[in-house]
Amino acid sequence: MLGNYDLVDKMKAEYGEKVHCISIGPAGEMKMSAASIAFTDMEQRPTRHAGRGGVGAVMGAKGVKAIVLDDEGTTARAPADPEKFKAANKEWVAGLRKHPVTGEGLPAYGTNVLTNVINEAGAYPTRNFSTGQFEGASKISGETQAELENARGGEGSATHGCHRGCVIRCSGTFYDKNGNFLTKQPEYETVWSHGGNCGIDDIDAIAQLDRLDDDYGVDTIEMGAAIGVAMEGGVAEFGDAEAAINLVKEVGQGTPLGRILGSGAAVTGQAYGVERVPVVKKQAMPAYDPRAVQGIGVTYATTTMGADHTAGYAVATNIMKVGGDVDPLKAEGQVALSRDLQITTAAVDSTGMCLFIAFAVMDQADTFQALLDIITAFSGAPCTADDVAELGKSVLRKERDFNMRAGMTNKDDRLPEYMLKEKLAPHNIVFEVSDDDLDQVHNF
Amino acid sequence: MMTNIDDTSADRLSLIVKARLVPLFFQLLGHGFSVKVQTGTSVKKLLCHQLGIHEDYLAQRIQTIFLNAKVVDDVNSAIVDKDATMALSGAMPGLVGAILRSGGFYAPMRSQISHEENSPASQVKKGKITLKLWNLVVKELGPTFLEQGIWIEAEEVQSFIKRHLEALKIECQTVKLNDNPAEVDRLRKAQWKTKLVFLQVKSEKTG
Repeated sequence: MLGNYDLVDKMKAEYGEKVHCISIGPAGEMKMSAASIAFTDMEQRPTRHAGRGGVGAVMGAKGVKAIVLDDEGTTARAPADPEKFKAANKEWVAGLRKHPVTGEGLPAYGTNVLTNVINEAGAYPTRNFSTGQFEGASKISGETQAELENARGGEGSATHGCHRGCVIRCSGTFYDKNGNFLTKQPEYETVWSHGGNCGIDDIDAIAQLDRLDDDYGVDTIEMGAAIGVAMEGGVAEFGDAEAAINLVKEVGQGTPLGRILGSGAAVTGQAYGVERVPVVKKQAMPAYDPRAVQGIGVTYATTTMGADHTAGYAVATNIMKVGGDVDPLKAEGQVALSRDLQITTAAVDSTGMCLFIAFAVMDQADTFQALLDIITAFSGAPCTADDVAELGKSVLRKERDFNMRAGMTNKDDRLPEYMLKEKLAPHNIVFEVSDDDLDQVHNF
Repeated sequence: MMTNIDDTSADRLSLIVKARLVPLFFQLLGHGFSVKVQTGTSVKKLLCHQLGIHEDYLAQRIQTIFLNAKVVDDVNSAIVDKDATMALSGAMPGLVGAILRSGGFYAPMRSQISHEENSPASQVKKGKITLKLWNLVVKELGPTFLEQGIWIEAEEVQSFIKRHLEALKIECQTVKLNDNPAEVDRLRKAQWKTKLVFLQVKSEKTG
């Protein structure tokens, strides 16, 4: 079975140097639940992944190893109104550049800029979600990572777009100690999952794990969470980076242990008798402990694909009293509260825009208007704020309906029980949102 | 900006380095350093009146503030007591980043870890706090703090020197320990007199 890197080289040799690939690695071929689908980046490396939800296993089940794209002789789609599109795009780019998150923080440090902050908040899941702060956090922070990348690869290595024309450029390039390319700049979630969650504070080891994840085609969140559970189950010691690397290699090789790990944290926990398994709907939680930030806990519990930190923009506010004390059973006031957040997830996902536009869009009304103008000018169909909100709601309703028809109930919209009982240091808190409140989230 | 300390028995390490090396020291500022201030005062007064941070800068650039691991929403009412730890950051990405923003719209989503000022104002007196600076804030304020000098754990200084020995050997132009010329190599094994070292780093351009 070819890893994604060798596969891409093979496809280039067969179909031409300029092709791009959508592929699965050995994990997808073996139909492991944590399998991802890889997409080549601007440098034709398989570093961008549709990571969550086991989509790689679905592609593997259909017997598809790779989709090769050659755009030779094709033309890009043209906007319906080129002049208006150009004007809207100019405003759009200006809006993204002037916002401190999209215009400064993300380009300089990438998403890993979150490590120091989340750690300080006591929300950084450490050693399989056993505590909320990691003593090695500063060694694997975005600031440290960016400094290292720029030192090894030259100034600017920590700023890189993952697609042509990206304005935010939150990605980067990670070189090893000898100055050779190793992997794209590991994201916050990857640095956490293979770092603090496993007690590892070696950024080079984490980058190596990221490379292996990309090559074998597995979701880095699920992989790190599974290894964390395995460490708790005694398969390896917390902090043993070499052991973690070997465990991921077992996944790529499809050994019996590798197949367990590649099936995700839930299966790993079951195989090793570990009770403390941080999953919802069998998907591993990302890099925020829900006991410290309860709003994200509501998100994890109720989003349609399982524990997901990106989809919950739409669903958490109506029970968290954001913007004031609003009765969640009453419609009035809720639309205003929930509209911005709904727009920034399900609708944004539908437009194909990067979710990171959300911060500029939520904070800057003119940037939000520029987004609507871009969509209108490109498609030729008027797009208003209400349209985008309705799109978001429609998507969420359909997803939930699918889940219900697949047999899920509100009992699946819950966090693991131990998070309601086990206090998380340093704040010594448990998840406090009631089941009744969780059941109100989708009342819209 | 007031970062001076009156402990004359502690070791004082002064470096003049090439400008491009200054950002390397930001790791120390991110890990946490001590400053002696008048405690029992508000976050805003401490940062602006004592540490010299401009009020506009505090309002516009420092968007995430922690005081003893809790998120500060009101810089006027949150009181800094002695031995407190304060962390300053720019605006953060992600839903959780927005939730942690000081005074942010989504603050109720993390009410359990929000700073609440319940105790009466403490008496104003001299004390020590730990300050941590990150991302855009350390980039913009870090050089000034380093130039004025910071108090940092000797163990952390030692570890830093070991990790970056080669770069320090090449890029340090002047090294002084307690006003005497010193070599970076020897600092690696230095026996520090006290737990805290006063470290001053100046760029060749300002040194």
